[in-house]
Amino acid sequence: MTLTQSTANASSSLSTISEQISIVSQNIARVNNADATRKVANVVSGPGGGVSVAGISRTANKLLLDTYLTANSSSQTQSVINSALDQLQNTVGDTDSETSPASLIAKLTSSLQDYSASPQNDAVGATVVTAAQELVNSLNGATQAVTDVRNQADSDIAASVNDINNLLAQFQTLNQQVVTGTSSGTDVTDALDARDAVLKQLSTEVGIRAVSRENGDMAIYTDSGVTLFDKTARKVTFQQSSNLSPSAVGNPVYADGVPIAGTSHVMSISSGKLAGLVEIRDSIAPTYQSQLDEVARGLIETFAESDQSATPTLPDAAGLFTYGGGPTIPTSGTVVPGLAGSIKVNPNVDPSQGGDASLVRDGGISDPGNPAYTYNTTSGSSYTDRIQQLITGLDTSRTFDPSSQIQQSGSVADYAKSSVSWLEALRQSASNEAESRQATADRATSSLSQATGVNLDEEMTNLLSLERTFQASSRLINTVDSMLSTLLQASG
Amino acid sequence: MISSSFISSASITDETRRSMARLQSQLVDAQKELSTGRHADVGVTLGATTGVSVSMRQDMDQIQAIQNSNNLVLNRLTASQDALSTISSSTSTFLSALITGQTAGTSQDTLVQAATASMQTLQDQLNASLDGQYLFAGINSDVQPMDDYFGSPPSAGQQAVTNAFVVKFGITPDDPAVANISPSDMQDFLDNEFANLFSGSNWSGTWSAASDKPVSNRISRTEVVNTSVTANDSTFSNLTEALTMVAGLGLANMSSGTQQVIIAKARELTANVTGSLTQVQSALGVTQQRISDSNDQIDTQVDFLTKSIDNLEQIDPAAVTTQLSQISTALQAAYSLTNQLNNLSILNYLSNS
Repeated sequence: MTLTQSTANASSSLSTISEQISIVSQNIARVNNADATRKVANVVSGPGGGVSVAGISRTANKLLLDTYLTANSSSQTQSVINSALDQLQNTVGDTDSETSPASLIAKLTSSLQDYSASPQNDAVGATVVTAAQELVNSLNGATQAVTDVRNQADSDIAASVNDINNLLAQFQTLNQQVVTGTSSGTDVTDALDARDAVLKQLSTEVGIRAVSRENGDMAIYTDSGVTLFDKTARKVTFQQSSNLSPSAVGNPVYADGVPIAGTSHVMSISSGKLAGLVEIRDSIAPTYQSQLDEVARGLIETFAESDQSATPTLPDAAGLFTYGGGPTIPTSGTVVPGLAGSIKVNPNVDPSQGGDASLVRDGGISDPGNPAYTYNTTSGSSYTDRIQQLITGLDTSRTFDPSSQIQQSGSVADYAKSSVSWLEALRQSASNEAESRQATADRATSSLSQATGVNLDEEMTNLLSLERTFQASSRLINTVDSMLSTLLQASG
Repeated sequence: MISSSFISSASITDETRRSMARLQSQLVDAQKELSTGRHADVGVTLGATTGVSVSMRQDMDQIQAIQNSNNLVLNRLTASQDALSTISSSTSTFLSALITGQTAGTSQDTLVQAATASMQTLQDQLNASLDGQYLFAGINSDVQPMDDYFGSPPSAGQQAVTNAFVVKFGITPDDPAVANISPSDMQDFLDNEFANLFSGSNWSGTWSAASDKPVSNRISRTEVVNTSVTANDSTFSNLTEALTMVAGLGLANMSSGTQQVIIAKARELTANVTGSLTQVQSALGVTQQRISDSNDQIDTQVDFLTKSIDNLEQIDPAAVTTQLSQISTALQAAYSLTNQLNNLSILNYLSNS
């Protein structure tokens, strides 16, 4: 070992330390960046005892990343569903507010009861019509809300698909950098970090599985196994609908030509925002809509008027409640899509539209000129039989379409009540599920961050020791220098 | 450098940040619950049970409406009972006048006056109304059921009586020649032509504008009952018949024997009416009783439903208060922890060397 050798070692140490300090400074700069991983310089000793930085590695953890991707996707699905359910819940409101169809049916029954106590009083008759109008408004409003939720979901799907395509394009660029960098041996840790960040964002939109391959290459599949990225990004396509009516079905989403959502298919994705949005658009909202439609159909059926002639020949006709297709009564036990949106109070009975409220008592709302539908044949002003019949009718069991997923028989009021139960039960389980999935996602986020993130204290400690080493190496050079100068003076 | 006890700085602060967010949202819910006394989100808390609460509220709305309408019906029944007892007492007065009239030798003017007064009372009471509804008109409640018998021009009833009288005896009732009518002829007239004027369809055609159909009301969720007596009840036609024969056939001018025939017939009818009036009154009384029973039952049901709804929807204030203080303690701990963690950096301990 010679003095020059010592100087060479000390100077290699100085340059290595500068490089290490630069990495420490990079780490410190990223201390609050959730996507950044901690970088470590791989220092190797040279043959003469000198040191050099052979490469930079990062503290990645594929297992924790995969856990994070799965947890994030499944949490996103639930949170999307949860917020849509909250929107639908507005159509029901709190149990103590009179906004839900269920409570407005009760209000209508009460007003009929009031009317039966003062049948001669047209003003009381008008309150029945007002209560009916409120019920109609609530059903119309709820239909609008459901349609809005579906259209919102449809346009969110379009936005999500757009995001997925952008992310896949970014992924392609970054993946390219990683592959070429790895094969040429340059530092790719930043590209890897960025690529992981894209994966994280992608998992928000759709459930994915990332597979690592040689040279740092990576392929992405949906959680159902459809290829999203393999060497190149695959196209995810979706045709947004301009306006989804209650009877219309939204378009499916394709990835690489394979349907991944929006139609029943073995390759359907099960998590990510996209899965949640499709679930809302194609399942939750339409089911709730069909329940509203059945409430509307039940009301039209309850208030239908029958031919009162001695030998009835005319078909039943829509009374207090009618709809676009009135006065024909819709087929019993079969849902009519969008009926809740077109149900209305018959103008013949609505004083504000020039109708006569006392027809609620007398019958003949469907066709005031036709005596066949008049129940109060003697025009008695305290005739209450028809009113009693209507009150009983609201309490009478009817048949409802099984496709609406709730009880198939019961009174209209019962059915409307069950619809509230259905929605709230869904909300309750969705909210619990969202909470637990959120907790899992939080857990995964913090595990990932704990294992791969930067610790400021550690970096500072490293900095101190690097500083000391730097001082020592400098001192060494200084000492060798003075030794050499002593030698030169002695010989000179 | 990678050790099992490694932790990143970001995750230290993240953890407290997340727990603060969670605690704050719990705090908002607890505050809302404490101020309203109900669950912050009833739907999410009750889930599928929400329907039970909705259904109980529906029931409550309906039975409260029934109670309101019952109170209106009770008012009407009370007014009807008042009218019936007025009729009843005037009928009793008339009956005693008839008994006095049977004693030979008394002037029959008093009796005729008593009959006329009773007739007025009967008409007035049958025309009684409440809130624009004629009480005894059945479902034709917007039509006054009785015309004034003594009115001018003569009522349909008076015309019918006069016509029948003229056809039978060839003279009008106010002709002094009625003194010549024999008791047997009068008996025959009263039993046939005259009685026929008050029978079923003639009564509702000539005398009464009421409907045969009484008003009916729902007094509980399942019970619909008749809640009125119509002027077409035979009690009223019989009473009118008795009063008319005394007040409208020129009784004062008749021979004593014929007078006694009329008085006897009138007494027989009136005595029966007294009995059937009591029946009508007690029938209405039973309905009144059923309605007040139903109202009592509704009170009990409303109490029960209110309690049940409260059980489902209300929170335990003590529990929420405790929870609230726990949350605020936890939140304070989180704040102080954040502060301490912030100070707990190696930067604060490194000397500037």
